[in-house]
Amino acid sequence: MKSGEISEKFVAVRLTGGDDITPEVKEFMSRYGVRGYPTLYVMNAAGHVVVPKVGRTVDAMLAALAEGGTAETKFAELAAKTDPAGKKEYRDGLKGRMAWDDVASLIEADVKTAPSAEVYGELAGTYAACGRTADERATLEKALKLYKDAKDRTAWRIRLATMDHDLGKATSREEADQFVAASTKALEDLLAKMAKEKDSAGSAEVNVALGSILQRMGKADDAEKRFDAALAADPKGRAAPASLMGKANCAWSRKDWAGCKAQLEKLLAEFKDSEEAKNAPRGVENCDKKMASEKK
Amino acid sequence: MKNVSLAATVLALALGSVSASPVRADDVKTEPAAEKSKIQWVEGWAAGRAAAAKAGKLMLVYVHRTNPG
Repeated sequence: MKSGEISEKFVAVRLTGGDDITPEVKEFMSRYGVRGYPTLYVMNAAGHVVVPKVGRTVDAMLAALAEGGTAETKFAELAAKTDPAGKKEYRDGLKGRMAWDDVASLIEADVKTAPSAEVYGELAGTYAACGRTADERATLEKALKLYKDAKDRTAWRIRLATMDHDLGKATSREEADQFVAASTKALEDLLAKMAKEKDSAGSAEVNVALGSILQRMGKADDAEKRFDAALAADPKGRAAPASLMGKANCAWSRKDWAGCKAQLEKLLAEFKDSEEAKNAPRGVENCDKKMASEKK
Repeated sequence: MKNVSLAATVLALALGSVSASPVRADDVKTEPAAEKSKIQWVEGWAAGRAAAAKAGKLMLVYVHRTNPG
């Protein structure tokens, strides 16, 4: 049987999530960006994701495993390159493989030779990806001291305020509820600081973060108030597209398909180049489907 | 490639992953052949990596959810 070939040629590893998830599996999902079940990867023993998209049939799995062998040979050749273009390609390859510890080492070198707000932010994000919380905190604190005008300052402050209660690390519903409550309190404190600093753009970003948490808790009406507050504080700022997407999600959860569509269309009209706008057409389509099925 | 931009992560926070979202409405998950096949599984990440290192082989990593009931 073909499935037996998988066990003969490769090591088949099963990780179980859901209600019985272990801290080990939780950490794996966070590190490797697992967003849903089931997820299949081909990986090597160093922890690199060699083939990130694997089909669900046995034939597709065998094809992905063969592809993985070829990819490993090519990557070994890339690692040996010493010219600038080759080094960049190797670095991008490491990112693609989610080899975050290796990526962090390379960015640490950049921080020493060519420091900038962007490099610090990238390093902090990479530490977050590999669960190095203390390093991430130290990097963000240093970045805040060094770069007073960095565009990501508020994002850094939000992360510092909430990183001890990272929802991605909760292993039970009870723990998730505790993290949500602690993060909400921390963000409300940060919002009060922003108000004192008269930082309306920062207040908008914090309100979006609060709205997102409330939405996760199923409190759509309270969440929408936060998104409205964000839009009122900074109608055209960087938090505005996320606020509109948040309002669309609130409307969706109330089964207000027309209201949801209106927010998505506003997002597309006013912030067509935003990350959120990339998903909006699919949302509009789904709203139309819902409205059509209700008319029948 | 996984996005490690902290700003994007924070701003997006749960917006793309909330259950009530129009952009996720069509997500359908089906059980892969892996679950029903006769594959010999190593349970757990550390155990899997150790087995792969010892055997000098690549891993097929399957992340699934326990079935309720």
